[in-house]
Amino acid sequence: MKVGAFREPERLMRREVAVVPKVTAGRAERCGYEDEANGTVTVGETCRRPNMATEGLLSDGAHQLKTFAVNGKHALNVVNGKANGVVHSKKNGHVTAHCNGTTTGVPQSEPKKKPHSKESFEEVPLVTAVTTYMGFYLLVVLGYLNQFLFAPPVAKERNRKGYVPLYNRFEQFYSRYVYRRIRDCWNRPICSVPGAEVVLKDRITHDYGWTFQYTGLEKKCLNLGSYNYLGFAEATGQCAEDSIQSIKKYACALGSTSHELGTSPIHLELEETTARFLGVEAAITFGMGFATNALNLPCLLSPGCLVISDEKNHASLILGLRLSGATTRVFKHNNMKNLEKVLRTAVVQGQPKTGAPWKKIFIVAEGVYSMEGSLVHLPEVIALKKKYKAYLFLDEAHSVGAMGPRGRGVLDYYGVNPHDVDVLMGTFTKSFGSAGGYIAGSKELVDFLRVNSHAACYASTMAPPIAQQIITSMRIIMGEDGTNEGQKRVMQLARNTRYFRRRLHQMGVIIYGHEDSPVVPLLVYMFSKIGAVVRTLAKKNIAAVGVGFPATPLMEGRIRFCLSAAHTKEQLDNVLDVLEDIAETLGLKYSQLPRYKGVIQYEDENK
Amino acid sequence: MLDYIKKKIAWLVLQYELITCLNMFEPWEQMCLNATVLLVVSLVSYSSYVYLPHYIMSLINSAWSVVSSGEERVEYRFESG
Repeated sequence: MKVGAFREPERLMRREVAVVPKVTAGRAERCGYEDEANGTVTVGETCRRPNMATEGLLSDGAHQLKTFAVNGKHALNVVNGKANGVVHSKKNGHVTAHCNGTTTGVPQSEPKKKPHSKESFEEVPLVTAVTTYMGFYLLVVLGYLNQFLFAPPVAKERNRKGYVPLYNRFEQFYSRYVYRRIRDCWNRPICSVPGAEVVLKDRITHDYGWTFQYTGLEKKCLNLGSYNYLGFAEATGQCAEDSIQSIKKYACALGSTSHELGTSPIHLELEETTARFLGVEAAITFGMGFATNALNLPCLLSPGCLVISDEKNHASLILGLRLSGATTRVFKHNNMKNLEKVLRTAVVQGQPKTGAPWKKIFIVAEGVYSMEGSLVHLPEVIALKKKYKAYLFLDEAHSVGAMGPRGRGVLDYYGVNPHDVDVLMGTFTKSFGSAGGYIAGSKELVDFLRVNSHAACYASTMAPPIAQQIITSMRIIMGEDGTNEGQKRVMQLARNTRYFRRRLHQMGVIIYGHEDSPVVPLLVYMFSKIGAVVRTLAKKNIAAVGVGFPATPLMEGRIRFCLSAAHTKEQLDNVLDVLEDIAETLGLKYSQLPRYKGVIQYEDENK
Repeated sequence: MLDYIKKKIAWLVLQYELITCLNMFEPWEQMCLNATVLLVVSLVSYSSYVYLPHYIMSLINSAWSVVSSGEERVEYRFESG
């Protein structure tokens, strides 16, 4: 069994064996349980837990993923926005259960209580890892051979004798001889609103991906590639009508920065609505989500500051951190123990060479990680942040709107007080079907950014129809339009997510991430499989996005499905049937976790 | 039955194509790759046909001599005891 659970807690396991040497009565069960509070190991009751968990699993199909999604790195004690208050499970970190000689990861909580962890990062089987690397080496070797034999049909600079190459050599090679071969799977031109369905423009290549020609045909596909979480990407409806009205009132764009002529009443309204939506004092908005991170982080940070950043953070955050000149230390993805270790070391040792204390310490994390489909362990991060007096920068690009019972992001999901997070960042590009980004927090912070941010000073402000789209969609989510349309969408997304993820898990494919995250990465590992899966899906009228190196580690090619409230159960069933077929033929059923055998029900609307 | 075998072979070919990324290559690259694989396989099978029987025989002989000598020694001990 390859479960994350067994990587980490060797220390704990050793200790537990030392303390309780013979707990091997009957069925050779060794299940220790370390209480964080006093460090003692309680055995006895816990020895029955694997069985109880299994019973719970059999009796309650709806909880199958919850019970089996084993993380072990870390455990969430908080479900549905409420802490369950079990002292034992504050941070379990180790999930061990050895039953009948086979190792089976089962969360240690009793099945009736909410399980700790709903996150899964299954390890790659060894054979797959080896074949993936082999495939990559073949691609590289034959690529170099190809490049050596035939000059690539690209433009060349002349009169550059004696100059060093301006462009990165390996990247160039990679995009020409690895990426180009499956380039038809990316950057597909579309010609409709990317809602639940999208119309793709058909194109063909006659020279293996160097150039493309349009055939003039169009194809309607089910859209699983857009971040249209709440389905607000619509050409009709309230949002569209309001946006059209706003053009008549405020014009198409203001063409100026917010410091100069770019601020109109609609922008003030947008900022006020955003702050109200998030439950904070104030917010500032920008016309571009990427720049919100890349240009505002340097305002808050300077050399002499320390940033502790999650290893899976988005490129915009990394760029912002690099621009700021602050020292960056990376902690393992969602690993709270590692975060604490890095924090403690930083606090104790201070700045390198001088040993002076850091000017300030920032923790930078995301709400939903777009490539991993995982959720930040917010309550624990906040506890650590308070313990070590660090600031927290939370990027809610993918989570705002998509998570939580009221759609207010991960804060809402965990039931955390918004004032506990110092800087709340997010984008309007995803759930609101618009564009741009915001930073929210205390009024002091927002005023500071308003004056100092390069994005506020030099960038054009948001166009009024785009702002209006956000305002209207936010009002719908908040229920201020007088209907429960927004709430319905949030619920629909949650139902779709759980259904889709459970069905995929049952199928036996490896999916990453948290049970409630609407980003579902399906691991296919090999380059050739990324291309094959995306092409086959497109043939069956399903549009999905493949992700490979360099966006992910070399070995972990994946197909990413983004669920939406606009999808219906029938559409998802259709996708799942096709996927079942593909997984069988292409050999994607890597998962070695136990699967649920029963029928997975789509949740009721009222639930 | 024939159908089943056909399907099985098609599936195996597909797996081979996926593992070697054959479906991503241009025809001449595919030919290169297939030729290399064929060459390696044929060399391995040829050498195993020519050398393996002799090698295995000698291996069995040596193993047998070790085993039998061990047995003899045991018998000898029994006799002496």
